[in-house]
Amino acid sequence: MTSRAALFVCVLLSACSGSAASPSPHPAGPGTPEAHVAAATPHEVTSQVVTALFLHATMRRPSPADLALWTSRLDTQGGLEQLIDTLLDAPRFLEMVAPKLVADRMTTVPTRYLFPLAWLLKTMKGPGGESIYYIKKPCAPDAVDVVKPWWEPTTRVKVCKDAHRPERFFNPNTKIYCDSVKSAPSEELDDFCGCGPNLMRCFPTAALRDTFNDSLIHEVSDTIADLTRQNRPLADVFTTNATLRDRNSETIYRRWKTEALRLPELAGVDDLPSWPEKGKWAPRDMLGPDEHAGILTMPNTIFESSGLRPVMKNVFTILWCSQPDSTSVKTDEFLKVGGANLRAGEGWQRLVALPVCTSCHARLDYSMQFFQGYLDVRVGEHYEAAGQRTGSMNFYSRNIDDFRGKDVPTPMGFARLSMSQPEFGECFAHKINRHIYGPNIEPDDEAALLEGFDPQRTTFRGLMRTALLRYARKRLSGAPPMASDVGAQAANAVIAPSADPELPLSHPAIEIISDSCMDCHDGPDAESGLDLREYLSKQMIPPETFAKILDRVTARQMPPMGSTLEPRKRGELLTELVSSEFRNDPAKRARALRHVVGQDRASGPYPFEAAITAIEDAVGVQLGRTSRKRTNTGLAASAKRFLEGDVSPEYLQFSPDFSAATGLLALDACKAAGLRDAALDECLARATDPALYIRPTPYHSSMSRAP
Amino acid sequence: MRQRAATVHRPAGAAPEYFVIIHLHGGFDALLTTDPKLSKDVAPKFDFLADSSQILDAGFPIGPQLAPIQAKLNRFAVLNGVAVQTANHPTGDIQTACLRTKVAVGTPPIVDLLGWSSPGPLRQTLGSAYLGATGPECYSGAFFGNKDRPGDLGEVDHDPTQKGTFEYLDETPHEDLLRMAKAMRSHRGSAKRASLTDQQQLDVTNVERAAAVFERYVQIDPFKRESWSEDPRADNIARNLQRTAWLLEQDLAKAVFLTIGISEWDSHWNNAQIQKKWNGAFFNMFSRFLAGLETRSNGGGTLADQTVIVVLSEIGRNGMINDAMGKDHFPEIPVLFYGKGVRGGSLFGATGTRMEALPISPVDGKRATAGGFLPLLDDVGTTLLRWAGMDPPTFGYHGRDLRFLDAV
Repeated sequence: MTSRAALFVCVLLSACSGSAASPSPHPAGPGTPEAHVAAATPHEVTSQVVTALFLHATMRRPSPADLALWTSRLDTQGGLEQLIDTLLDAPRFLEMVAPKLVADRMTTVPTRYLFPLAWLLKTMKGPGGESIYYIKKPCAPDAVDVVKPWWEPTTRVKVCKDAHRPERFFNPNTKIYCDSVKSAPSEELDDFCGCGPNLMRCFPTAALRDTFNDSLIHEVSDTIADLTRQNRPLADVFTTNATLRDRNSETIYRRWKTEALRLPELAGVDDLPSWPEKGKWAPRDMLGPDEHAGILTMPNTIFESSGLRPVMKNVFTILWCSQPDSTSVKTDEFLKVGGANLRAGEGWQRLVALPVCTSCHARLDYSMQFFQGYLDVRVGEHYEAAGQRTGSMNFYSRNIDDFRGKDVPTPMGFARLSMSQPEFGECFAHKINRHIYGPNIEPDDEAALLEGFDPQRTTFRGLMRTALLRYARKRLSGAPPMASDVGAQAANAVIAPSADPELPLSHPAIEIISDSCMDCHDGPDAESGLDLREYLSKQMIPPETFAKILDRVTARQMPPMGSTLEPRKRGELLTELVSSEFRNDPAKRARALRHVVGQDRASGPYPFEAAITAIEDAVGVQLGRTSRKRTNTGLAASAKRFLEGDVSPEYLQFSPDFSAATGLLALDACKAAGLRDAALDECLARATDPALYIRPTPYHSSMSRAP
Repeated sequence: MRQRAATVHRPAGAAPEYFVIIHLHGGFDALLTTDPKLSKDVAPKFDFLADSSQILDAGFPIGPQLAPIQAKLNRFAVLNGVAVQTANHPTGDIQTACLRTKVAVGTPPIVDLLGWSSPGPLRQTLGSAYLGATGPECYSGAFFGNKDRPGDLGEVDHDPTQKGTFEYLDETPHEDLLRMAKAMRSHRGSAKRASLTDQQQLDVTNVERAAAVFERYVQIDPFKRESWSEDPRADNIARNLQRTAWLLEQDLAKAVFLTIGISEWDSHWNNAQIQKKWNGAFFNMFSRFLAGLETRSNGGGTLADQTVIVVLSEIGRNGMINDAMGKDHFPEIPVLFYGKGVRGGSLFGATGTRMEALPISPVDGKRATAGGFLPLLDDVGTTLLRWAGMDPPTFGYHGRDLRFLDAV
């Protein structure tokens, strides 16, 4: 067994519980999980903290030299702030961690709508052996145009007339634009559209087309990275007109302009070659007032999904960390909306006011109105100034009764409104904390980041600095990481058996319900007709009501979004409720607690990207990134991709697939290092050690101690 | 409270050995498949089939797009009008993974329960496996499987060489698989597991599960990919169905969750064409898959005799045609059940002139004149757990036990 492996086993299997160690600053009581693990020495704790800070800031462990240097420095002369500032200057933080935390999938997932493969040009031979481009079918040699192609405007190419059609921008029969996904040659219901001026909708090669997806992702991530490098306020990410973009991205903005104004030639086609291939900061042309709002109107964001509503859903995931919350929809209510097109037409106004729909649609659908200049990808893929609304538009949060303000109905108006709400700050505090703590966030962690939060002044780098300092100081002062093993804690709850069909409410449950539910569920006018007062006084609850409460609390639907019921309290309430339900059957109670309360969770690993770099470091090979293309889900050299790369740190677990995926990547890495036989075995054992991947928990807190 | 499922442990051998849940993503249209209606059957403005020639006979009436499995419906029970209480894909996705309403991200999917928590020792190497366009909502402490990527036009990538964990294992030399298993098991240690917390035990177990799969791969027949269609979309579906059959035949997994598509059935535009394209692609491949289950066996009888299959979408399609000739979302769905213990050749559930569910009898599942109930997705999950011999409330399932679905 390797030394690292021994460490994991030592911790995980409590084999070291009898070993000598310093007294724990937070001694665990007998019988608790902490009791099995002796505490680390202060030096060991410092070493763990340095390692964790490197992982959180750069998703890479420190080199042995860095670990020794910073551990020693922190032990003897301090320098925690210096370490954190150094880490926040690192390219890996600026270019990888910060963009992912700020904009999540917009920095990793390309839109699949902007460049349909069907627009890939095919070639036929002309009478002189020259190449002639076509799209659907070859043409007669005399039915060709000579065109200046956008990708090399100093040259001329031949293209079949029916593949060119530079004057066609809008199909009056289908009422869709020629840059819509529905106008792609494979989808078009009639034969109307062509590649357009300078063949701007078409690509000569699949490879060139693929670089565009890559470029649009980089416009988002590079802009965020540079704003973070400059320590600019968080608001700039969502309001800047200028972006850091390469030639491909600039080509797309020029294509939008050409489509919108129906220009005979791609706007500025002759200047394109002078645009730096690697990109530059530049303002974006605006065809309408406040058309642009930071990353919100970048092509990879605004055309990421089919329709503005799902785009808004994604935007609110970035801005407010909103989760899907569409439940208890009743068919009768739903049918009252009638036959309008609820997705793209005016049916939204009926939808937002429906009781069962308002909790999501008041927010999403009013917000959509701020972006009406941007077409649905099935209608077009550019900005039409005529579509942008004028006047002012309302903005709502939880439902149609939760009015938050109004502003001009432009993307910039939306950005101002959405960032001025408390949900914005709470979301960024949460994103950073879940990155650092996984599922084990304590309320104080969120509050610390929200102190003095102002999107016009607070910077992302500043938030991250505060969070890392807080994490390090807590750990260095002896506080163990918070536990997520709710199921284990829950086992202590005991409620006396009884045969009464009504279910008893324990005192802790009554206390939590009193604190968290009675604002809405007290008296004859209680929400949903659920009056809890009598049940609390009787300390008993009927089975139907009990099941309803249990389901809603388990699903985190009650108390609703924005409530003060912190995760630990929710866990306690669930524990009490489940214990009450299975008060007569200890075996079922134990199983139900593990599943309903503990969600059968395995330990939470660091983000998958950190696992990949951990493998690289453990093996000692730098497989690196062979292109600008994001490879967040697998080593570039192996190109293996796994679901783990898409899962939020809150929900990522050390599953069998995680174990298998890291095993397969370790195999690739060890083989890339040229190892064979016993050396290969040793390498695999080193690189598959779960201790490389799993976050410290109270039970793993002596992870770095030598056995 | 809805009627709880009794804790029924079926006699030995009575519970299905395998479970397969197939999620057709986006919402397949009941009118064109399980719930055909003519103009006389629907309210004004609601969609209907052109004439009675489009209604096929499978022992009960079905729509034209279910034709590929018409001859096999004698082994299916169909339940129309199942409420999912949502009209939004992400919520529906989480619910479909759990076969339960009111669930949050992070709740373990039902195939984890069917696979890993079934009574008695697990015969298969893996409890649950995931295939197709698996989303993060399926991720759990027991996750093992693949994720197909979105490709052109937002559809699932039709690249037949698309790979996931299983494909990577396919192409890894046996010698390397054994090396990896050995390396992973080297972390196991020898201390008593009783001293570990639940979470720590699961960590250790998960390393062992992965190592066990690596070792098992060396012993079983390799997966053989066949081309079933010249249409890359259909052939991509075939790829995942073939993998499903292989997992069962090789006794590698007990429960499989297969997600087909990324909103492929989400026909807000041109409903009829889109539904035809995807129903045609799926049900033709599914028919061939079912034929394979009926002929292939692994020692426990044919796969068809050992397996329960559930086919559903996360949301339904509205009965009305919108102004883009599409159909928007609807909070009710049809569910198809196939296989061991299922009352085949039966249609349950009832819908009205607006495709809305009507109350049905808890006894026979047919339209109730009094005392009926509206079926809910939770009822499907509860019933499935009971078929597996499990106690649904222990796992948070408080739905109704749909006993009318049981084979006589």
